[in-house]
Parts: sequence; C-alpha cells; structure tokens
Amino acid sequence: MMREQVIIQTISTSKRGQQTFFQTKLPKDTQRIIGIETGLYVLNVPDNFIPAQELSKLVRRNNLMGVVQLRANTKPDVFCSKEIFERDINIGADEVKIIPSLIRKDEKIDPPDGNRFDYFTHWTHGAKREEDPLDVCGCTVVNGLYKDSIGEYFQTDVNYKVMLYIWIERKVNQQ
Amino acid sequence: MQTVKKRFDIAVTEAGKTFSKTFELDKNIVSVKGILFTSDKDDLLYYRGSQKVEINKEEIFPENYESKLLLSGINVSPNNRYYDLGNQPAGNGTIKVEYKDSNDSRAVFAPYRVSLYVECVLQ
Repeated sequence: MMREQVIIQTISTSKRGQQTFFQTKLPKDTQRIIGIETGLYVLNVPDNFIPAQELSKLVRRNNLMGVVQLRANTKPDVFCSKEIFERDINIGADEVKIIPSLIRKDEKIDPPDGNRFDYFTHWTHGAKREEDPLDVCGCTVVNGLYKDSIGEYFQTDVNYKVMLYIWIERKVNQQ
Repeated sequence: MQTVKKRFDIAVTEAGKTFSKTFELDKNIVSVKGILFTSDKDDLLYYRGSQKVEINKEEIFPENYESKLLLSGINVSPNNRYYDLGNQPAGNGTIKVEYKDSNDSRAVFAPYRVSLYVECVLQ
C-alpha cells in the first residue's frame, strides 16, 4: 500500500547573503518524491526594513527572500529550484474596489481605479495552495542549498525562517 | 454518499504557545473527506499559524505544517475549498489538533480564534 507523507525542513537565516547547506533524510521505504511546498516566517527585522505593502497604487516587484535548490543524493542535477517571496503584493491587481456609500460620503475617496490593492489580501484572494508536483525516484537523502537574497537587496541582516515541505510516497506494509 | 460538515474551534490566547485540543466526531461518521482551516483574524492564522493534525491517532499533517497551506480564499470555488484527504477512516472518531502560534513581524499578536472545518461521510 502506498501512503503519502510530508517531511518538514526548517532553514533559518539571520545574516545577509547567508548560504545554508542542509540534508534531509527520507524514510527507508520512500518510493518517490511527489511534491514540494514552501512557507516563510519573518522574525526580527531591522527598522529600515519595510515589509511589502498592498497599499501602493502601482504594480510593484515582490520582495525575493532567497532561492532554494534541491538535489537527490543519487544524481548530480538539481531537481528543484524555487524562489521564496515575502508575499505577492500585487494580488489585488485588476480588482474593482467597492466602497460602502456611508464611507464614501464621509471621506474623500478616489473612485475605484481597479489598481488599488488595500481591500484585497492574499489570505482571501490567494488561490488554493497545492504543492509543486515532482516525480523523483530512488532518493534517500535530499541535499539542499538556500541562498539569502533579501539581505543583499536591503544591505542588512534579516532574520527569518523558510519552511520546506517535501511530499513523499511511501510503501507501507498493510496489516 | 451523504456528507456532513463539522466545525471545531480553538481559542488562541497567548503568543508563541501551542494549543492542543481533541475533538470527537459523531458515531455515525465513517470517514473524513476533507479539512479546512479558517480564523476570525485571517492574517494572524496566515502568518503565525502551524499545526499538527491526527485523525484516529494517525498523523495527517506533522508538527510545524503551516496553516496557510490549509487556508482557502474566496477566489476558490466553495466546492473546492476543502483539503482533500481521500476517504480517511474516522476510526474512533477523534481528531487531535496541536495548533502552534509563532512570532512573525508581519502580523502582530492579538487573541484570535482558529476554526477547523471537517467534511465527514456518514454511514
């Protein structure tokens, strides 16, 4: 019987441009890697670091936190390379904002221009989150490299944790 | 196949703590089809939350699995919002959730509620 399971790897970064090498051991009965997901916790940041805001009237570039690359122990090639973004700051682009009439009377508000994002957030407007599908067989250890970019961009140390979720398929003996 | 949806709540009252709760399903529920997490403060759940979920003592999501991966926004069709578990046997009908709140500078802590929705299959 095949069973899906997720293995979690935490990558902590606290220095500008830091490179982190890590190894994730997979269970012995792993048949294949079926997908990858990532997450992010931003911990303490210096005062001059301004997290990306949705309040801008312009479409802006998302903050790139870093890049993670994964290799299987049996093969030399990188089987997965993923950019980790702080958030999608342009999630509400092209949405028309509806302002309740009561607020409209009291405040001077620009008419909806379809390009103001402050009422739209990624936890309501984000798509259903699913793993990036992969099919990597014969891997027992995942060798990974994470390289910080946000620290280089802001020229300062940013403290954060990247979470890596490796979905695997295991062969389990049926009882 | 008749399905029923259940809701269970966890009150998160302190920052950086783990809140463990066990919920009981009705006896006539045979399997769990899907689960979904929501909150009264979506941003806190999105940025700060992670959890371990066990159904019938079987680990479905391990510790530190982020809550944002189990959230569905209003962009998602109501018919597709639940995370599909196939047909996970309900067994003794217990669902154990260990919800962990972690510090994140993008969302300042305030007490919030985490709701777990479970889509169940009846006998």
